[in-house]
Amino acid sequence: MTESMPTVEIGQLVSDHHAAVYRYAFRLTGAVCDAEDLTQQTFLAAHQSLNQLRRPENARAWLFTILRNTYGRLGRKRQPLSATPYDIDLENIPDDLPNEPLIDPQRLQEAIDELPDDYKLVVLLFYFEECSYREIAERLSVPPGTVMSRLARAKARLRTRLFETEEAPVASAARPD
Amino acid sequence: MNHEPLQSDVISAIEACRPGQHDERLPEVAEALAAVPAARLAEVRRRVERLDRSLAAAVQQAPVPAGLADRILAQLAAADEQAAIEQREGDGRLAAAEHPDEDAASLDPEPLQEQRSGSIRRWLKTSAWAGLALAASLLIALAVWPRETLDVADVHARARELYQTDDHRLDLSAEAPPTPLGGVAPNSVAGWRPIEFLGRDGYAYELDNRRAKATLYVVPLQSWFGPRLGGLGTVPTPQSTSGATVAAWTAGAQVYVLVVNGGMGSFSSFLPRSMA
Repeated sequence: MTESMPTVEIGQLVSDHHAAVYRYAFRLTGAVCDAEDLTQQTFLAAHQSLNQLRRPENARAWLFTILRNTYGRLGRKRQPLSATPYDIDLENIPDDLPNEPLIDPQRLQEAIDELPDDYKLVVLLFYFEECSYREIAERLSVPPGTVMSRLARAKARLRTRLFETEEAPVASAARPD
Repeated sequence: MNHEPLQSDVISAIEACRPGQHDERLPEVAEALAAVPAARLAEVRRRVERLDRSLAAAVQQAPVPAGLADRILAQLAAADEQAAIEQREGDGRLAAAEHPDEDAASLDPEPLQEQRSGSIRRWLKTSAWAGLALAASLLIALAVWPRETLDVADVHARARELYQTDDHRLDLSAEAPPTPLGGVAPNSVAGWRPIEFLGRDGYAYELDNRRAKATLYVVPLQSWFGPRLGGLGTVPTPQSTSGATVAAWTAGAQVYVLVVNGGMGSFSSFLPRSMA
């Protein structure tokens, strides 16, 4: 007896997920045009392999995986992060940091853009896809320890870029090398 | 209270944990955190998690270009069409080679591509019918719906009002303006953001050509629900008051309203001579 596969309409996928896919693409590429191109390529690839989507409830994660793979094929920057391993002291994070609406979106994107792709992907899997570090390790096929290390560095870099001020870097206590 | 700095493996473990997922019970995390006093750990994690929530919310926000879904669907349909053409041509060549005595054009190739593209066509067809029904309902509703009509002076007044109350904030990207600029020099665009103006969704472009600063508001001319716009010409006719110069004009399917912080000379500096 054959099990009937649930059918998913590509148009419905576009309708339901184009905004999330675009936002993810924008965070990865940092440019409106590139993000739209990447979004289109993602849905094109999804359309061509729609029969591989076995559980419609997983469509969003499936599309994000296609998006990451498509982005990976576009050529990635692999420069190392700076030598300072952790330039933030967790206990010095102020209690009165701005709430989300006050996070400067342009500064946020610039901070993400500055991350090498290996770190950017880990951060976006954490913040955008809301994956645990174990899930990130599985999806990127890297050891959990590597994910933990990249995550800590990347998050520290984001915070430093987002909340530092000219007079006194907020929550930043760079350790001497 | 002064503490010893946290070790890097402890920092990594704290950063890796997600609230409510019990990551801290996993061996590699539990081991790293075991040496940290519970009260200190709880305080650090509380701050990290709060910050993570804010960052996650901010990361997941970004303005989506208008009409993106339609462009994706159009591209998918075009790709389907192209694939179908290539499939027919390929089958035709194959059939001609296998049956040289038959007229290849008379063969009916198996519509494999049709099967592939069936789902999107069905969806588009369904959507088209649903859209037609919705459009018919809207037309009936709009026929009896009283709408305000704004003339040029009204549009100028509303633009001035918006310009004065606007915080002129720029959104995420200063590149790739999402709409044509109605003749305004693209190199004066410092950034843009989505706005609502004249009851329509559109974009505000912040302009700076080193001589003056200005804001260009661009919204669709036609709107189902916004006020009707009457008397707008295709050439800007600027009006200066209170240190600002305003002009509204149409080009294509868009309405352009340029508000310049300065007089006529400053206004003209944003437009080509043929328009200024």
